[in-house]
Amino acid sequence: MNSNHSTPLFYRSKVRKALWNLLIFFCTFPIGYELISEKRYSYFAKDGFQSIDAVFSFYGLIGLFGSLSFIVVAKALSFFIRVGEAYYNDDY
Amino acid sequence: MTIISLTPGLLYILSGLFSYFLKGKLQKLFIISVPIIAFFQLLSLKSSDSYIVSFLMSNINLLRVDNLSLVFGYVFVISSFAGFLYGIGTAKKAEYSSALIYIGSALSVVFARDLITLYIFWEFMALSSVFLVLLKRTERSRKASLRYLMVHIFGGLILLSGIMIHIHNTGSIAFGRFSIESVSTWLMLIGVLVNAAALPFSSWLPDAYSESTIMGGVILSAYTSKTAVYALLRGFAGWDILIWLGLGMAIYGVIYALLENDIRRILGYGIINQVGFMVCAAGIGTPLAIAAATGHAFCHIVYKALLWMSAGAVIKSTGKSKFTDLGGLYHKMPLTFSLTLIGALTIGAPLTTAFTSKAMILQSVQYQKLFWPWFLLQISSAGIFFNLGVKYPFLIFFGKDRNLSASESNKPMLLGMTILAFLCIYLGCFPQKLYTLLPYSTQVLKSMPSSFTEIYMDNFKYVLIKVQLIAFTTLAFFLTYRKFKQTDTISLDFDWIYRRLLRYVVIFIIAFIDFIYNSINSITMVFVKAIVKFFQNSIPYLLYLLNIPYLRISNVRINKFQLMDGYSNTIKKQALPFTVIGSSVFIIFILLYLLV
Repeated sequence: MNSNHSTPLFYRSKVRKALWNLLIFFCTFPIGYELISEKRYSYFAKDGFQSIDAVFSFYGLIGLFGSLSFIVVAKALSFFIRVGEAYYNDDY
Repeated sequence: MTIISLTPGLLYILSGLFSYFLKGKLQKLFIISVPIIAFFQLLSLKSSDSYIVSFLMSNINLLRVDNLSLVFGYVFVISSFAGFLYGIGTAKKAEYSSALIYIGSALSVVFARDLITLYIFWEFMALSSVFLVLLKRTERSRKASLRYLMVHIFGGLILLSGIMIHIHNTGSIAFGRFSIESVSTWLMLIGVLVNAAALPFSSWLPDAYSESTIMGGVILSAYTSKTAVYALLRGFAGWDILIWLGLGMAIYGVIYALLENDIRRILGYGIINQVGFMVCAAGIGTPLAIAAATGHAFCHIVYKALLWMSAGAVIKSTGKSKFTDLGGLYHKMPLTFSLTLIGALTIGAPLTTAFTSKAMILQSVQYQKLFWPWFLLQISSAGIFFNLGVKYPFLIFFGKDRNLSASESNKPMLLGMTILAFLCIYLGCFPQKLYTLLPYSTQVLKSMPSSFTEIYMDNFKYVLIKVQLIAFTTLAFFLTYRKFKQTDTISLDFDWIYRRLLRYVVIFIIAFIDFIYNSINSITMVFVKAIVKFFQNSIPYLLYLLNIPYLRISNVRINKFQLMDGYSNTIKKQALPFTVIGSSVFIIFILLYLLV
């Protein structure tokens, strides 16, 4: 029996590659669409930081860098607040 | 009320009491029929309906029917129906009874017309929900239920004190919007915020819910925090502080969810995050924001209950609840995985319910030109999608295949999940039905695209914006998840204050009191010793002084201490005659004094 058939579907390298391609498509297609469609304007200000929502692919940047910044904050915080599973074991 | 002369809440509560005495299939049939009857009862309610009861020499009204209470009523009943179906194979008799009383109390809160009714059922809700944690019957759940009860009694007492001061000051028991900021309204707000799991009262939610029974988790996820959202929308809409509190909750929920290793605790932090969105909208307080928060509460109950169901199904099937122990389950539980994926995607993906309701909240923030709240909510949206939309399903069903022995969920579980998954998609595609139920529905229908064509065809650009957000969030997850590994740890939360800090404070106070007591004791002992020594030495010293002239004349060599010791020993040997003589002289003096 082919070992590829005993491997669950989503663990096969071909399927994984296809899924990565799908993700890249979902990342690039909206950006490509934004590129050809009319420019977005800021809801909040004409210039300055508060006009950031008019920046090209703003929502993609929010998704990527927003998540990454949360990871950085959580990682930094974990040095202070992470404890072992048994920390509260003797509690009431 | 045309169906039966009970409020929907009382129907649930009485059914809860009655169902305990039923057995087997009859009990299950009875329990499943309660939400169906209640649903038709809700459909028949009119805004003029009331249910007046005499209580403590005043008339309280258990029924106020308007769009705000009806939306919460509908979703409470729908989610209870799905939850009860889900629990058929796993839940115990007592679980159903306490769940019915708990849901009945939550329904009574959202239909309460006055503060007394609100408070009574608020407390009923806390008391009955404890059993959904306690009935897991483990040491951890017992301790968690005690902490849960402690926090809710604290919140309830603050709410009660606020209500009492308010009634004393205004003479009114009506529960409406509080426009004046006073001690009483602030106390009431704090009491409500405890139930909303707002900062810093947030940690009770993941702490207790993660220790509940399998069906208990599903039921608990829907009611306590949402009744608090209802109370905020009804009483405190437009209070600016809620905007910042809501944002704090949204961000806090994401950060703690990132650090979490327990599949139900991560869902708990997800609730705090999403309730943060609703609290923020309540703080904005415009008609659109109130409608948005109500709509989002509806959608959130649906998809979060679905995710809690999936977590329960995984725990039941594998006996594991940590990400570090789970992985590779998708091919063993394909249906559970598919339904979980719908729940997970509902957090932000198009064609799902939260896509429309969250858009409404963000729109209401945009209309008020509140840049920072809007910006932080957008980032929080990405953060929570990262946690619940990608990390949660991926680490359970994919990730490292741990070859766990697991089987597909039972039919009732799948049925309960399917109902909610259907609603997630249906309301995401056709939100018009929900919009017409919302308060200020005319304004909502004017401001928001509501038909399938309007949302997904006419506003295709907006749809792609959201796709951009979730696609890049997913990308961020897959780029980092190997480096940001889950560890078998817990994160200290605000509950550290009452689980550890308070203990240290008590230990310090006890040590301080002990120190003060010992110091006073030592000082007193020194003082008493000095007095005793003084009196001990005074008579020998007196005798020594009296004898000095004689000793000087006799030319005897005087050694003061030797002499005093000699006198002292003589006194000690003849203590009895001295005492008798001394006491007699003392009594004679007293008598003489009294007579003269």
